[in-house]
Amino acid sequence: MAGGLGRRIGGYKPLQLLQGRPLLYWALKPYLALNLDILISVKDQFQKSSLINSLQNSNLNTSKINFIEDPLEISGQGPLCGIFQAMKMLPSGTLLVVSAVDQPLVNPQLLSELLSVGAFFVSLAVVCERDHTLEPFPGIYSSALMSELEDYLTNFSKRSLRGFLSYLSANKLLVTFRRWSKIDPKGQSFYNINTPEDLTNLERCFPQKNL
Amino acid sequence: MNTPIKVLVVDDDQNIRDSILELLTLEGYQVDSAANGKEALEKLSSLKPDVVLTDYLMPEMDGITLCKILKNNPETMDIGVILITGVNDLDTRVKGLLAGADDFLNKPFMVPELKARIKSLSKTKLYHDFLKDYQRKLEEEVEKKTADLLKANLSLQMALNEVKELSLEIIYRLAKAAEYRDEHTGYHIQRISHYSTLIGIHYGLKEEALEVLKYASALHDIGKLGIPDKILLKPGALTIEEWNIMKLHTVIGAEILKGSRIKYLKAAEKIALYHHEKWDGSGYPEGLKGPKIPLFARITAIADVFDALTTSRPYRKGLSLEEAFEIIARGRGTHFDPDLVDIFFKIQEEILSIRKLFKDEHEIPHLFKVSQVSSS
Repeated sequence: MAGGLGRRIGGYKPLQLLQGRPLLYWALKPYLALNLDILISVKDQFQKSSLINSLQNSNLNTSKINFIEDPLEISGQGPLCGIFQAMKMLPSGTLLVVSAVDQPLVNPQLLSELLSVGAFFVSLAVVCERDHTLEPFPGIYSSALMSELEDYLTNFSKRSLRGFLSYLSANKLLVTFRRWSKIDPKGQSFYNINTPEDLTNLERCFPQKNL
Repeated sequence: MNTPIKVLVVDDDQNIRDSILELLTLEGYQVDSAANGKEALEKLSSLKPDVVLTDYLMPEMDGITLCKILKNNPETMDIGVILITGVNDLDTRVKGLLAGADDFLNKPFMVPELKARIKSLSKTKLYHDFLKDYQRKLEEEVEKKTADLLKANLSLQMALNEVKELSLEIIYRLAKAAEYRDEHTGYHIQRISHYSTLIGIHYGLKEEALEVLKYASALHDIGKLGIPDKILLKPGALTIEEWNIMKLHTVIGAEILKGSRIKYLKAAEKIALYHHEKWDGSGYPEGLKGPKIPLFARITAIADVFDALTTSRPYRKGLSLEEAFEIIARGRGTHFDPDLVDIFFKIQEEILSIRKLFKDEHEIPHLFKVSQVSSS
């Protein structure tokens, strides 16, 4: 999910640097480690161009990377738009492993285990639960849930990703993954950067992360 | 309140176990999980699941082995087993079917399908449980009713036995009453009964016939009730006319007993009428000959004569056993049925034992004799 405006960090969030590399690089790394097909959700054509340019300057293998743009009819709904658009263009039952571009510390093993659970049930969402709260990212969203997402977007006025998770939970279409702490004891996979201070703090701790 | 359906999830992948457990718990099932077949078996007794959802490949004990164990134990064979297999894994499915698996789920599976299959199997399990419970209650009911019936039957049998005992005792006491008019009140009746029965046993009579003979023979002299005292109690020899009247005790006895539907009394009628008939036809009242004389009467005749010969009367001393046996022997084929005489001699030791057992210890003075003595 790279479509946010990132106003608090001064805009162009995917391109903000951490350890000399854009956040987009760190966000894509675990996906590439698992050799997954990658879809980058962007707000518009302009954002897409800037990210392509950034990727070209990195040494990442971009052969498995594609872009999707938010649909005009439901734009402005944040990550839900990107997820909906991805579901729409993929065959039913495809598993979407979703995280945000401002989450540079996602653990690939966590993604792998989330995927194994998602693959077992095919048609559900699988997200982590931390302190009795559902963490939307990283999470698994089956494209089989498209009709549910469409229903949610159509019938609920206050639309949010957490709201959608509650909707799925109420309809028993979600399983929680509580064993994340065995893989990522400090929950670094959930850490996201919203402000320059967040970035500075992480930069300061970065050598210790041994990434 | 309905008891929740209990599901045991068996999978070595803890993530999968936890996720299925979460989903099924949300559906209202009572769920527990195990990491392999062995652990599942350990949890069986505490959970008593309705459905076991098990993966195929697991360490320690795989799903097929678990399924075989469950389906071969009468206590767990009704638990529904769903085997999780890979898509198109025909080999595992065949193995699962041979092991008794009730259903299969392809991996990856759709949650609605999982729920539907669990629901379907749990219904079957509940139906089996219902039938088992129904059968158990039915068996308890039948057991209770059977016990009640046995109790009622026992009470009835006891009542019947009491009535029978009463009837037989009345027969005995009636026979004794008749005998009382005559000579003495000793054990004559008992001896006749037992001698006759013993002869009957060795003749080969069946148990029922023996019982009839035992009680019917006791009434052989019931007709003496109709004989006037002056003849019945006359100490000296009887005149021909008196003797002819005396002989009528057979006919009178039969008259007293005739027309009864009771087998004891019907037999007693024949014995009373014919126990003075003789094998050669020289007896009375009808002069019947040989086997025309009813068997019970032939048997009673020997018993009666032997007892009469060996018992002392006020006006004469009883004969010695040797003399009595000799008289019986002489009567073989003339007075008595020769076969019965042979039996009598064959069992003479037992006859003597009966005689010893029912020996008259002392003579009780006869009431009429007493009055005669006092008036003379």
